[in-house]
Amino acid sequence: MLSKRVVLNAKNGLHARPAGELVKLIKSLDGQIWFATDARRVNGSSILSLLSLGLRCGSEFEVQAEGGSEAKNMQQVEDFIATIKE
Amino acid sequence: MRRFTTNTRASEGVAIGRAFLPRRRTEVTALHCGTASEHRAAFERALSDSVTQISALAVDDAIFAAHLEMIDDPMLRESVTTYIEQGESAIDAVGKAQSDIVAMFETIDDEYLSSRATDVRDIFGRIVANLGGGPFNPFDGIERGDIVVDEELLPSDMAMLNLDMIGGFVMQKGSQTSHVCIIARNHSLPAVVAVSEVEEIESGDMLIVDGEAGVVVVNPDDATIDQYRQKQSEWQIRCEREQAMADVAVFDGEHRRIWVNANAGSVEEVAVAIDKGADGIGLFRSEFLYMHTLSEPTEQQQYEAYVAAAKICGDRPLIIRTLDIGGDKALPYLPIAHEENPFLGWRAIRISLDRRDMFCRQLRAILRASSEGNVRLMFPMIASVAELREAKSLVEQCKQDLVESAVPFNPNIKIGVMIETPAAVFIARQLAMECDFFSIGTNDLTQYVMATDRSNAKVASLYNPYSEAVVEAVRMTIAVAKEAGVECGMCGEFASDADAAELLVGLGLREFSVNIGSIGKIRSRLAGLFRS
Repeated sequence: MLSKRVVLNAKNGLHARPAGELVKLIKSLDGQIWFATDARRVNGSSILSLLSLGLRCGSEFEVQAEGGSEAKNMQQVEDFIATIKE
Repeated sequence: MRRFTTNTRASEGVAIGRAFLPRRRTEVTALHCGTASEHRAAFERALSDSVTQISALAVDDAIFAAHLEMIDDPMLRESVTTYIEQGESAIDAVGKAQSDIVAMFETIDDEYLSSRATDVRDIFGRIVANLGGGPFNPFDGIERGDIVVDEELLPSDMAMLNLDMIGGFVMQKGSQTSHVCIIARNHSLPAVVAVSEVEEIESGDMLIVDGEAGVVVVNPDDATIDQYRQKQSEWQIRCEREQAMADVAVFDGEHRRIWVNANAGSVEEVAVAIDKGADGIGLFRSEFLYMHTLSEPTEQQQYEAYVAAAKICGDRPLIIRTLDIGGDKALPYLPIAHEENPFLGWRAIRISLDRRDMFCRQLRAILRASSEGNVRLMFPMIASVAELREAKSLVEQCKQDLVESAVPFNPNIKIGVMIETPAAVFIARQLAMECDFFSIGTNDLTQYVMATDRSNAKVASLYNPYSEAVVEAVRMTIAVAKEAGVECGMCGEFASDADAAELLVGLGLREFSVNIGSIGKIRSRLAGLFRS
């Protein structure tokens, strides 16, 4: 398993629309993606779990890639998160 | 007998009647029998119907695309099937899973992100409807004079309620400005909100609601009922006396007309206001078109609503205020970042001038409606001459578009400015040279002049429109308007305060725009001032 600390720079935090797109991307990957905060760890293919983390602008969390082409999957998720601006 | 009290001023008047607790969707009794596998099959069917419906909506709408992900979320399916396995019916299992997921969202310490629970309620509502729970009216079985008791009522609930039937409201949540209070005041229905003990009230309990005192009495004894019947009839007589005044034109000592307009937040309210004798609509809040929808209303949708309102008004003025949102109120399609000081932030005209395409769609809709009635245009939160000029140049641009497409509009449409920032008061003279009328918005003006956040209980006593500084700001604005020859009205709560009427008339105000429920009250007070 690969893991990496990431900071969310989206102005409005992770809200429904970008979360929907993120989950769609994660479901297309060949392995699992998890998100972990100090409090909880949730599966990236569940938008409800992901939204319930309440990630806001500046929130720091861990992305974990498990199974499949872990490095490639991690890169794609990381790149997508960096593009969420609003 | 039990007595609950609250300090929140909701809507005055006395109601005596039985408690009616609206049914929630999950209480629907249909679909309660059957085996676990039948319930699972029913749920799977409802889920796949919901997916089909949302897929159609999600084609070009990112919010519905997110809803699609939510409804397809393994967590949702697992949660519901677990409850079914534990012996719950499909409909109850959906209800419990919804509560669990909503609770998870509501712990988020960020108002914008936690408000996404609304999306969750929306998709669960759809599943329940597809389970055969809908169409559904939470007020089925309500009887005349019943008092609606609930945690809170959403606008969609209120839309299903026949207001002529009911006696009043008691709500656990809410503030003076919540939806139910505005509706209650506009229909002269007594209401008491922010009553934490609401859960102790059962359906069928006898209730007394005293909106003025903020008191709810549960299962009162006969002596108490008699006492409140007396108070109720005094209130009814006062209302009738005021209503009798509703159509009477009021003139000042120099035989100049004093106009009593009304504030309205929807086309229905415009109709009620005119019916209750308003001389016009001094503030038509266009927000209703933008809220409670998942995408921006189209120009055509807006045009149709404005025309409907203009036709109800006939010759009477209809002052449409352009979108006033921001800070505390975000829209699903217009996310607003968390702000430290939302009332000093990105709101009202500031948003409109940044989102020009959206603003121009609204301006064109208003301009088009201006050919069908006495429509006027008003900008909120103006703080500089440059903002007004910029907004006006966009109006000109929109007029040009309409000329080119040969669409009719009133080329002389009157343009006004809300005076609700101290800045606008100071530059009133310059603004008057650039516009046709002012409308003083005392709610925000009081908050800004007194530097007081009215939702902060520690300083709330400073939030007082009778403060010397606020009265002086009002005086200056009216005096400048008079000197410059522009009309000046007032649409804040202060105008609806009968005790302020004499002061305001003395300051030179001749145009009041009040809550629909206060039309008769203000008119009779004004008439009293000049009756000799």
